[in-house]
Amino acid sequence: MGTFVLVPTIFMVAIDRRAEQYAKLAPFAISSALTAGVLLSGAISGGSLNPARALGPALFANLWQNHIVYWLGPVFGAVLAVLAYSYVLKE
Amino acid sequence: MALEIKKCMAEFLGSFILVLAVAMMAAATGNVFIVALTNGIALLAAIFITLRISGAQITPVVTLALILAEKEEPARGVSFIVSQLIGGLAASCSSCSAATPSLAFLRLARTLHSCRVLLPKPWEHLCSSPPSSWLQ
Repeated sequence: MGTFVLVPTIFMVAIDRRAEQYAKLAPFAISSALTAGVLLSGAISGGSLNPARALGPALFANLWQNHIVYWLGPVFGAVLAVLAYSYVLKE
Repeated sequence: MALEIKKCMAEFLGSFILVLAVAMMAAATGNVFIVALTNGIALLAAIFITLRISGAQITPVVTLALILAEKEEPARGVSFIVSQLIGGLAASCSSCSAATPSLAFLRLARTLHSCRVLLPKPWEHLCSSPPSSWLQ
């Protein structure tokens, strides 16, 4: 679900050409979106919306409980966000 | 071709920075608020570092979303995802060896031992000794 906050922000700020005048602010918008995503999912699942960040510590700490959640959840959120962008937000 | 490798290295570096900061802070505090702030600030730094080289995608899901939206070529996107995952692994190795020096590779060996069914035959004798005493 956190990915659903992050990905539309990136699309609207960095990809969409309507936001050209805000291009210098895009990194700030993206990192605050990531902070919000981690905060909102942190209490429930630990707030890992980055599969690379989930894989590394799992391999080194040998913790594999529910590991598939940290791959399927962000991918599902990204697909949902792409659908939302292409049907709603795109001009 | 050299330019593509440069871009993959930039994605590796960005993912390394992000995962290193977040994993060390999560291991040190475990506080969700602090970890979220660390996420944001480290991502900001990683974006500014890699923006002009590779486009600053950093996370595999962002690359996946860009592929799905047809803003990124699939072949290059897959190589970006692979280099981001390797960056995350390298950062976890660094943070694990910084937190508990000299135990990181024993932990990795223990993980490999626990899934030794997947290993090919020549590795079998490396993992056959009981690993329970390694970490004490």
